[in-house]
Amino acid sequence: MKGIGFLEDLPTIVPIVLALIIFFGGLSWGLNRVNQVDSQVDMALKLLDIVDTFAQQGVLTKETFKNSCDTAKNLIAGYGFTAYIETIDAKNELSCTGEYCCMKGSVPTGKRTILVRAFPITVQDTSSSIPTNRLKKLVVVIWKEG
Amino acid sequence: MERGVASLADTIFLILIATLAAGMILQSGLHYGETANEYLTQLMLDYYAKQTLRVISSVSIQRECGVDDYLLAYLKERAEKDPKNILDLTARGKLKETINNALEPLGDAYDYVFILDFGERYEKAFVVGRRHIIENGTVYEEDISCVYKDQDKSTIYSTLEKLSNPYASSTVFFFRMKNNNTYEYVPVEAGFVLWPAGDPQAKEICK
Repeated sequence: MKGIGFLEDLPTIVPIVLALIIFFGGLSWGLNRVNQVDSQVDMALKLLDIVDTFAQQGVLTKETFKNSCDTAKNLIAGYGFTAYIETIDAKNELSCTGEYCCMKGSVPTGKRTILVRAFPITVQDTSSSIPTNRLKKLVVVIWKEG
Repeated sequence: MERGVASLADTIFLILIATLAAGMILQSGLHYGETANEYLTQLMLDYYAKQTLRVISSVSIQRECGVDDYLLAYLKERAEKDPKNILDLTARGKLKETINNALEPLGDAYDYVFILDFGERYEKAFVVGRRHIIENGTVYEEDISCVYKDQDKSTIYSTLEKLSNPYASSTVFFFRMKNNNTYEYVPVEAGFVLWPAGDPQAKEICK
C-alpha cells in the first residue's frame, strides 16, 4: 500500500529539516551581521566626512562654520546629524543651539543607533581687539534617517 | 536493521555538515565585525592625530608678557634665536598644555609624542610627550622630553614602529634658521603619534 511507504519515510525527513534549519539559520545570522557591520562602517565614514567638511577650514569663523554646515547638509544623504562647537572639557550633547550649531533633521528618540565623536579644532575668537584662535572641540552626532 | 543504521549515519553526517557550515559562517561573521571595528578605530584616531597637528599649527597661546600669539610662531621664534634649545621648559610647557587639552575628549586612554625633526642639516629631533607606566599594579603618568641627535634619530622611529597600535600623522612646517651668517627656511617634519596608554614599548622612548 502506497500510504504506508510514505509514512515509513517520514522520520528521515525530520533530521533533513533540522539540518536545513541549522544551516539557513546560520546563513541568515551571517547576512544580518554583515549588513549591520556595513551600516556601522557607513555611518562612521559619513561622520568623518562631516568632521572633515568643518575641519578642513583650518581655523573656524562664524562664516566658515555656516558655509561648512550648508556643504555638509548637501553632502550627507540618508542620515541626520548635529555638529557643534563646544569648550574642550564640556559634556557631549546630542543636540545644540547657538551660532556654532548645525543640525540636519531632529535627534531620534527611542531605540536607535547614534554615533557621537569629538575632535579638537581651533575657532577664531573676536571678542578682544586682536582675534585669537581658541582650542575648542567639534562634536558630531549622526544617526540614520527613517 | 542495516538499512536503519545506514540511515541514522547519513542523518548524523547531514546534521554535522550543516552545523559545521553554520559554524564557519558564524565565525566569519564575528571576525568581519572585529576587522571592521579595527579599521574604524584606525581611521578615527589617525584623523584625530591629523587634527591635533592642525590645532598645534593654528592655536593661540599667551606669552610670558601676557600677549596672545600663535604657538607655532612662538616655536619658530625660539628656533631662530636658540636652535639648540628650541623646546626649553617654557616651550615644552606650552606645547604639552595645548596637546593635553586637545586630547581631553580621549581622556587618559591614549599616550602620545610630538616630534619636530630638523632633518640632516640640523641633526636634531625634539620629542615631547606623555606616557603611562604600569608597575606593580600602579599606573604612573610620566612626561617624555628629549632631543635625538642625528646618529640616534632612527631610534625614535624604530621604537614608535614597535608600539602595538600607533595612530599617526605628520606635516611639514618651515622654520627660519641661521646658517653661518645667513638665514634659510628649513623644512621641519612635525609628527604626532598616539597609542593606547600603558604600552610597555613606550618606555624605550627618550630612554
